[in-house]
Amino acid sequence: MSAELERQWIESAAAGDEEAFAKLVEAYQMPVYNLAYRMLGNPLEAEDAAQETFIRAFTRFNTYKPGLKFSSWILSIASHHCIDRLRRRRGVVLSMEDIMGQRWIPDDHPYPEEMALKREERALIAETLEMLPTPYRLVIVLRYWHDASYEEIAEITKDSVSAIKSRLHRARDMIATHLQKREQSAQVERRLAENALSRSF
Amino acid sequence: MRCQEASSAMSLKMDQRLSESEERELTEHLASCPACAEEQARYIGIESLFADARWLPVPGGFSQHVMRRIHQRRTRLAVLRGFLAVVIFGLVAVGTLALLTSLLNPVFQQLVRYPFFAWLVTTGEGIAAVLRTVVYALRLVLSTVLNSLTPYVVGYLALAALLLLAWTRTVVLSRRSSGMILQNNSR
Repeated sequence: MSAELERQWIESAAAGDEEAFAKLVEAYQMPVYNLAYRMLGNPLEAEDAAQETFIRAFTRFNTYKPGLKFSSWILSIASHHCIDRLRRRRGVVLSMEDIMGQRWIPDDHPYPEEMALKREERALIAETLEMLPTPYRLVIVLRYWHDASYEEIAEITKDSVSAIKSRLHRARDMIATHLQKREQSAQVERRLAENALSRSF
Repeated sequence: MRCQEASSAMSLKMDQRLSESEERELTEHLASCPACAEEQARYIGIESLFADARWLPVPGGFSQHVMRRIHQRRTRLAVLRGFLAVVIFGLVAVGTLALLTSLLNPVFQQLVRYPFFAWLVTTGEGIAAVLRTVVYALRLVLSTVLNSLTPYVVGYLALAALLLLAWTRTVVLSRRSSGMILQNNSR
């Protein structure tokens, strides 16, 4: 997609052209859906949140400033929408749909051992993200999944670059502590299992 | 470089945001501080954890679904706007008519002398008489219904309305959720 083509789609979509907006949806559905998925941790809710993001973008196209990168604008809408959802979700018990939604995790690897390893890695990533408070999770997702620079993250989250720097630092600190604790408890469990095994012989 | 500065510098290093001199300072500090060196190893562990951060494929028919929802929302909005326009136009029209009638009353009195306008007034009065009859009939029906409303009847009607509402919501919600699950499983 060339920058010129994108500019034309944006102009037409801003004037209410649904066909042009559909092209923008096609172009940006991947980053928006993946941001929602990593923020919410549930594919079904992520799909709904991503769709809602595009609907909001279409109805509030007048808030888009031509100088701004379209990706930053759409990811900013997605981020704020996900934060709103997470805020509303506090104290809400998971529904049957959420639980069923969790089962849908695409797997493209046919080998069982590697699949198991991948699943373990994925579970660790999901657990790590879930442990992070929302603002810290957002900067980590934007940094690692969207390869966004400090400036881009600042544009998306509407914060200063220095705030993003310190938030990323704090997020990494939290992750490091979490992984360390996890490793320590795994070691204790291993030791207990070894002791139990040696006592049984 | 102190340990706190080193920690911050480590995060910046992960994002390739350290200048050469800062990086040199950090390396020197890490060589002399085992605690910070350990922290650096943990930071590298984070990098390798997220190194495989991949994007998931978007569910099929995503963009079509978005466009359908946008279209539905726009249609709903257009209907609402149309309804509001009709209400506002109606109110303005009635107000204007009432004002004009009172203002132009002396002119009407003069015009009625001519046969055509006299006929118009007669026809208008005929239509008004029909409307009056309809309104009277409606009032009669309404008053009969209202007079028959005892507390028992009101209670029964409220209960029936509640049950109907509960039934509708249950059916609509269960249809909606089963639709979503089917949609999800079909992928």
